[in-house]
Amino acid sequence: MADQWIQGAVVGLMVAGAVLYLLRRYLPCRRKAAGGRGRTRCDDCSGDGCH
Amino acid sequence: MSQSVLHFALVGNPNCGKTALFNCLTGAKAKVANYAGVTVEKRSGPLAGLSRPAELIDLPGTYSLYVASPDEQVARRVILGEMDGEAQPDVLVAVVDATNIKLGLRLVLELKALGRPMILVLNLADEARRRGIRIHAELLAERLGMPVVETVAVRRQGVTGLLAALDTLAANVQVRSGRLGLPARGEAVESLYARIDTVLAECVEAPEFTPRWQDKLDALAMHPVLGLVILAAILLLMFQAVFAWAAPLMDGIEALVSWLGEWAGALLPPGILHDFVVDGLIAGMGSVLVFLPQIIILFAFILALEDSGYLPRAAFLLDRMMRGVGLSGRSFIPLLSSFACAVPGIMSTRSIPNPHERLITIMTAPLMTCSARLPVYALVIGAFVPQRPVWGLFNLQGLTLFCLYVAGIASAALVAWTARRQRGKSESFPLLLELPNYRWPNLYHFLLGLKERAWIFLRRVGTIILALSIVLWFLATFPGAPEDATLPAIEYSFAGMLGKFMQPLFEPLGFSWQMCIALIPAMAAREVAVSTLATVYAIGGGDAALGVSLAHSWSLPVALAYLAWFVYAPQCLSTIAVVRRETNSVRATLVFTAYLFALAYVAALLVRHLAALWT
Amino acid sequence: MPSKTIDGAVLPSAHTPLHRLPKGSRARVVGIASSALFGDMDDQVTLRLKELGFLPGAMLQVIGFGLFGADPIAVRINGTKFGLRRAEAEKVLAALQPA
Repeated sequence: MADQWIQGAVVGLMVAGAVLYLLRRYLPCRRKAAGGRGRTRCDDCSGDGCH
Repeated sequence: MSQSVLHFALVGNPNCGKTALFNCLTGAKAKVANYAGVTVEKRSGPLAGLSRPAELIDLPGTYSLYVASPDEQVARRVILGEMDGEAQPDVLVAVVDATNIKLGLRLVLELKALGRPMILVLNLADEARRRGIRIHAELLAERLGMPVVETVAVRRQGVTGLLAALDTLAANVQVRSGRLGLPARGEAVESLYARIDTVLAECVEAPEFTPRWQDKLDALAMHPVLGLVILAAILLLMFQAVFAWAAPLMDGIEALVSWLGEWAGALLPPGILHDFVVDGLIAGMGSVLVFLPQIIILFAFILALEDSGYLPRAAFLLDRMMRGVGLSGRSFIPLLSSFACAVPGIMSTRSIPNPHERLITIMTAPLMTCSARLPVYALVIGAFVPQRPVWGLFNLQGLTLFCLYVAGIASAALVAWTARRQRGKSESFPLLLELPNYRWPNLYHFLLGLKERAWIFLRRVGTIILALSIVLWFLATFPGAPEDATLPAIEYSFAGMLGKFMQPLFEPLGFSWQMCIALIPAMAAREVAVSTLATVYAIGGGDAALGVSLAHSWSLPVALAYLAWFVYAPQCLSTIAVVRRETNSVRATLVFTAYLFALAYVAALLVRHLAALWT
Repeated sequence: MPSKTIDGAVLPSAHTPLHRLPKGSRARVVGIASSALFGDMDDQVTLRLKELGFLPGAMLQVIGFGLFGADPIAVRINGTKFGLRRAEAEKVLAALQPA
């Protein structure tokens, strides 16, 4: 029984982490940042340099 | 002596090897986030090896401070301190191609008139020596009034000497504040060149010739007919390589992934963790990871072509034809790189001075089949198109893929042509394209570039695709099926609900709700459509390979309609964002998005009905 | 044919616009003419041409043409190769040198 809970907890954490990651990645870019910090503009490629 | 950070800027003509020098000096620590070979954004990184903290900025190539196309303006604005958020450079490091000294020195003299501390770097010194060009550096330094250093950036030669010279300069520089105005053109171009001629006569011995092999190569590559044939052959080879040569590697990765899935599946006790790992993580990432070989091969070609100096020849050959549809020969390079990813392709359209041509190029770049579409195409084609040989040489699958690529290009031409007719006659713009010397791509540089691209792809899989796969798995698993469930569990999940909600919109296209739901995460990364389908069908019940599941669930006309959708739909949020940034117009971006979605819908509709008639 | 002007002075028509020169020929630049094709931008184009080295006295060689209508034109000048569209090539006036 406890086993299932642990599993559920682990999975839940990973899902929450994934959601937070996506939110952090996409939402700040909605704000019109003036200029950005040089190469890490979040407007393009959402930061990862596209392929 | 204050220890504030000193800012150095690399300035020079395009193709002089500034970027290679930048990589040497910063130890390649600065992240390259866009298209290698054409610097359109300033890049900066820490400059190590000096006695005080320093920052180095790599500026886009420019020919002049006075007349500047959009991409050159970035360099000008940074130098003059007009760029927001970017410190005005304290020291200018002027890089000149030693084999093209006359052209490079004119900019140097213009920069000198600004009165800032400067140093001249003669790059490609080895190539110059090979051609018999002898430069008396000390005399040149005296005549120009600035230190002169010779380097071979791609071999890291001369870099220590350069750092020493920079250090000496740094010791005497005060950090200035306040903007630097661009002085009115104090000296006419003619008199600048007259001065240059005098200096060169004293300091440089240059036989007036290009190595014979360059000219021979150009006689072929730029021949009006043969040149085009060669270009077509190169593109065909590239295409063939990406699809044929990658196959065994892809099979290898696929085998690895499914082995991993089985191993994990056996290792973990049945339960939610098991499902998460096997159906969410491994299915999701694995289905995209398998395309790494294709991406690498595609980039290998693009990098080699860029480094070799061939691409401007292609632009030259295609210019007249492209003007016929409202584009420019210069559009070729952005469009070619859009085959990898439209985002850097669109950014490199800054090299197109004509605003109309540039806008059309931006609007049509996403129609070039980007590498993110590959997994989707490959999946659907693999599932629905039989592996039959055609004409003994090609196979039907490869041919179908080729047709999809051609469809993208043909549509782009049509769209461009329509836009041009609407616009009517407009002013001419010059081409004035430099055709740089051919160079043997430097192996180290090439491998570094490939490694970087592979890493960017893997990072993309490990971050955004992973995150999306996880979220998707969650949406597809919860809430679970109720007690009296008759349909597969997935139909009761959030994903199922969302998919069914969207489905009526796509009813005329025949898309199932699973196909619809795959479109949503595809907005972040098109490849994730594949992961989504993998997850959704895996959870839906079945160990069968994804292709097989699809073949059972979809009809051929609908599958083809799905492909047609992907050819046109501006699925990628990043692309939309960069269009907005580069056009500086929300209206243009909305028009762009709307027209592409409309095209996608109509195309999918047509394909579905036509295919249904035919089969 | 209409005579071109450089800085107001009317030229004798012994000077050939660049796009008329045959492939492989060498020529010495005489000057840059104005052209209505570029409208308001013409001065900028002239300046750009000069900046890239198309100045009186410079030696150039025509090295190739595009497929349709001899457009664009590839020339080598001062050791650097450039591709020019017909419109801007028309502006460059040069005196053909004997082979």
